[in-house]
Amino acid sequence: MKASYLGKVIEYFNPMQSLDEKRKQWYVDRPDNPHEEIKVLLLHDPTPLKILFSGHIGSGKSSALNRLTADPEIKNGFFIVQFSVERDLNIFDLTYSDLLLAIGKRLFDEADGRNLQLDEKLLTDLEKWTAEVSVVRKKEEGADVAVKGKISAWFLSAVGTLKTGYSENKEFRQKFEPRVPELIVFINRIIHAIQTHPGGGKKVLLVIEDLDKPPVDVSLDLFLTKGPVLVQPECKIVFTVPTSVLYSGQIKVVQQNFPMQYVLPNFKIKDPAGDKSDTAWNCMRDIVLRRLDAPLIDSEALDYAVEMSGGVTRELIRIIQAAALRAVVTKANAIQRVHVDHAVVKFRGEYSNQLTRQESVEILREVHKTRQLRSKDEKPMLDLMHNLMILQYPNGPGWYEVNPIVRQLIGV
Amino acid sequence: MSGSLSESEVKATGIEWLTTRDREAVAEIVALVANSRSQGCVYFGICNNRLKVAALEAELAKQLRIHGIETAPVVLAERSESEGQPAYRVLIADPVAYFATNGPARPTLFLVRGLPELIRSEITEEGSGPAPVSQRLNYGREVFRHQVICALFWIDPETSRYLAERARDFWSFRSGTSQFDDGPCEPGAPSEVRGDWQSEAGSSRWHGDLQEKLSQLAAYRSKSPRDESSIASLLLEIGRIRTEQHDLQAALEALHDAEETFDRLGNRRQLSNVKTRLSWAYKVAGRLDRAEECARAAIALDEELHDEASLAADYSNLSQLYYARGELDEAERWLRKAIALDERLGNERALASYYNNLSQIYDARGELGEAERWLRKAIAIGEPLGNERALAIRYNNLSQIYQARGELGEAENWLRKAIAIDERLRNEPGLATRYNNLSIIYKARGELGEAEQWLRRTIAILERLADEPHLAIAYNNLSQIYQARGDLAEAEQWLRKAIAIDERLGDEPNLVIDYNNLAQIHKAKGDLAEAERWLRKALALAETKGSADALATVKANLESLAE
Repeated sequence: MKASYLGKVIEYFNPMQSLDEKRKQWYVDRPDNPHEEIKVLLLHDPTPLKILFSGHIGSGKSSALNRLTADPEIKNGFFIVQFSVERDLNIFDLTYSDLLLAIGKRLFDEADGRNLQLDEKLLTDLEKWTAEVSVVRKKEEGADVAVKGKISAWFLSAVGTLKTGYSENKEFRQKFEPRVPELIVFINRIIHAIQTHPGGGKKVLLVIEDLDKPPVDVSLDLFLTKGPVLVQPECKIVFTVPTSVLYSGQIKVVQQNFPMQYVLPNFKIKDPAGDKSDTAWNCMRDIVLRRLDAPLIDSEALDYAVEMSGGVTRELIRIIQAAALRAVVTKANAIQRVHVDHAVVKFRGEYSNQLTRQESVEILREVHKTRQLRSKDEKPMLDLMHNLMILQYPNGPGWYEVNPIVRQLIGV
Repeated sequence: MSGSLSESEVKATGIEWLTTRDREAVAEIVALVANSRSQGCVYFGICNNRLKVAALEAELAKQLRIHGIETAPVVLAERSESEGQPAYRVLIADPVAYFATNGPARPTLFLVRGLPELIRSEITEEGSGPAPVSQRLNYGREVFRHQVICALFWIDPETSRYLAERARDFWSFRSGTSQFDDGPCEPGAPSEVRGDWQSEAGSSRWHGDLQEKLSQLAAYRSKSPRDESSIASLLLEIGRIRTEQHDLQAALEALHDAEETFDRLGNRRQLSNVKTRLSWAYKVAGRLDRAEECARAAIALDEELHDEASLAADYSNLSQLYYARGELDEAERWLRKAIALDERLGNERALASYYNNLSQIYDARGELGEAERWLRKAIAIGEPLGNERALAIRYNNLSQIYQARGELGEAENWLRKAIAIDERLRNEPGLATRYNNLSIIYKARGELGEAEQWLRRTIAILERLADEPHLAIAYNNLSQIYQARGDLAEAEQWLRKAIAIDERLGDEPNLVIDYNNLAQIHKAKGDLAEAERWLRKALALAETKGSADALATVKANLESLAE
């Protein structure tokens, strides 16, 4: 499936589009993708490993996690519970206790949904406990509901309260938070029940998505302050986290609880000295050439788009789409360098709007000079990473560089 | 050429809001939406001026209709005043839920207004946390793909920063943004960006000090007792920056707050500064009545303070307001007062602009001798100051004066000086105009080969810029070159290209010219019936939409046909 005219290029290079089964022929693997390493670790590490998984916005994290959970060996080896916090929790007001509650709910529901019979003792204890930790709203309770139904309804009601009721969730949290240790015990009993189920129990693998989206302070609170609690579920868990957690000054503290951290790297299209790295460069070219007929883009234009993308997939997609738009408007038959220039100038304007503090300019200049991330004040630096003004090239001898589109704005 | 109208005679009627760049941006959005019907798209338009937004939306609706795509307005929140404070009325708090349930049955571009207002409303209510709508969009971004929603969000620069920081995932879904200048464009003969606003308040994309000023303001406001003078000074600066950013509502709020404080404190000098800034902000907003009121208040204060440097700028500002209204005598009177003061003070940078502007006033009256005299003074004083882009415009203006007098050699000399600068600066829109003007000079000399060559350069640039309104003029001009050669078939072909554009754009004043010129081609072919048919079409339009000159020309041509 390749674009054969510019209108199709606009369609096929839509930055909203992630790769699915229909478009898998567009997938280009990156040279230092941690997929295999994570897979081996999950399959062979005997401990209830916790992995923090990160990457720049637009680097393809969701696709990578989908690929991981769709891997036959992983599917075969694990009882996989994959969910987004957005579905269950109030994204405006997310705490560690809420997250644990969502984990408990998902595990219980998945076990129930896959007809795993949990033992009676566990169910009775859970019922007793949930009755004690009452939820403010009790609509779901009913005299004739079976035990499992009652527990499920309790979880539903609890997360429902957290998701929607501002005043109610405060009241509920006050009651519930002192009992988080008890919840963790129940989570571990459910995990144990799933893993030792007579019908051929499998190890539990939790994949929790969208934890990279809350504000930085919320993420730091979860993984820094509440890290010791979040690692207590006795199963393997992959958390998606914002890069700011991995690159904060508190990383040593985070590492104590989450020693395994992986970053989906950007394509290292240049080395730290600024010289072109052919392998990654050609991968980026390949991403484009798998989606359009080669005559639709001039080779020099393609190289310039790759260079300006900084190795970030979605940025490359966006540049090509914008260049194609320009080519269509100027009635060209193919994307030329001048069209990519136009796109780059436009995106530079967007960054210029965001770059309003002299302090940020100084940080960027320092990063460009040293290829390191050093600043007295952490927050503006992390914000610059989030906004893709600073790009990170991790794994192996990692380094940082200023987004090529931004460099002109800081005079380097 | 008897009976034909050329570019120099084309005058726009009313306010033209869309510049060439705006039209290009509209064309890009149209191409994006037309090719995103199967998966949706998110785009941002940055513009503060509601009238401009309305003009852009109308243009988008017109262009999208050609592709069978509808537009649908969506207003998330509105801003109003309540007891002097901004108040917000939220109409749609959750755009994600709205789009989840309002997926269109037919291809549609949603024109979404009020996101900045919704964010501000929620920030006000929620305190320091992120606005809930930013999180909703961040987590719910997939709705645009799943529901195949094409949406253009109108935002301001501040909101673009907010989204990039607080709704990063949603922001990363965008296909692009277009930043639109807020003011109307002023078509017609090229003229210098006028007056002291240019030198006094150079527009910069770097507004790094706004955040700093806002932080300082918050700090000063938290102190007790309050240092009201410092707070008002900060508000004055914030108002200035926000006007530069075309965030006019916020600018006016800040400036009026500062005005109230300085008035209360009796600080006349600062009050004058505030009035000047208010006048500027109102002029940018198109409120000439309020702008004049503030400019006159500033004059009264500066006269009271005997502050001559400020008075010169005040007089020039008032002159520009009169010029904008077409009141040339009043514009001249105030400009001469400014010139008298700055000549005494030796303020050369301001004088270069004032002389050019005075030349424009004489030019508008048809007094070419005086127009030349003042323009030469502007050039003489401006050349050592080194503002090349302004110089190119002044050289071009001088060329136009020589051309109007029929002194084509001098006209060419000055035009080539302007071209040399614009080629060095790679100022393509400027070059398109200059090449066209050079073509007109060659055509006037009868050197049709050269005229065609320069006009084709213009056309190449305009086609590259997709500047359809000017392309229509250029095609018309090329048609006239072919007509002058007697190649009527080619002449008709290029003219019909111009007509196709003008009919699509609904540019009726230009259509009067096109139809008239097509009639002349038919007349030259000997097809008088067809010539009359086109002249009558031209006449019908000219009676309501054409200039007086165009109407007179069409009538004369009809009479000549009858003879």
